[in-house]
Amino acid sequence: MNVNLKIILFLGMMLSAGAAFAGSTLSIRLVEASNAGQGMGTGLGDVAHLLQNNLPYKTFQLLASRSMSLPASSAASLSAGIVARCSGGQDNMHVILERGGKKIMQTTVELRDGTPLIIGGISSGQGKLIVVLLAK
Amino acid sequence: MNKGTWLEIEAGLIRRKTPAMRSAVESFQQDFKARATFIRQETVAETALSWFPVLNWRYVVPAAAALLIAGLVMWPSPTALVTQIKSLQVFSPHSSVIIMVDEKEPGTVVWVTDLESGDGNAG
Repeated sequence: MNVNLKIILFLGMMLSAGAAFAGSTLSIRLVEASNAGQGMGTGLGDVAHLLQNNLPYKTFQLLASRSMSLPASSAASLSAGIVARCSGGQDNMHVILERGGKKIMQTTVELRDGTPLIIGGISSGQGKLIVVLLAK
Repeated sequence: MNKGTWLEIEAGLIRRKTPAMRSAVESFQQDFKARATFIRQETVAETALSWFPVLNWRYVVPAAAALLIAGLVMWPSPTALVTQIKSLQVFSPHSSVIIMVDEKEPGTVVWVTDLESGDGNAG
């Protein structure tokens, strides 16, 4: 085999190995943020610092958690009437948030492995509802 | 016919500088070396490493340089390591949208203020 061809194949394998580490699962969590009390609920350890450092709330409680395989093409029914409809791969993912069958917002994102996307501000009785999307 | 003694023959050969007879082993080795000069000979190291060209010193430097350049070109900026918002539409009444990118705790926050989502509350 030509030596140059071997080098090209080797470099190609290195690059494809990196691509192979792309996430295969999308996790969707619904969190309620409020100032009633103080603390971080279970199941939020990986996003605790991100939530506490960027949002003016003291209490974060996990209300629901769902997951789907990537590329996504399904809806996750969470809690408090919130439904997250996700479609597409990580590079171009469409997310639609609905509440009570009514579309609240939609976004298109490039989701990175292990770096969460937090969409918040949905009103709740006690505080705000937050949707946390994470590909891993 | 003049027949000299062996001593006279030896002395005559020395005078003529006639090369001594080669042994069979020496003859074979010299012939082998002579033939070998006409054929490209690979060293043992070359032969052993030829199946994996990257380990060959001739290709280590170019391959390392290519990897370095590829790494520099493809290395993402800090903001590229977090989720990017390509588009966003909010259908419910709201005041503003804030997008925060946290590079320290990698993540992206989309916050919609005063969002009325249908439950009668807004804030």
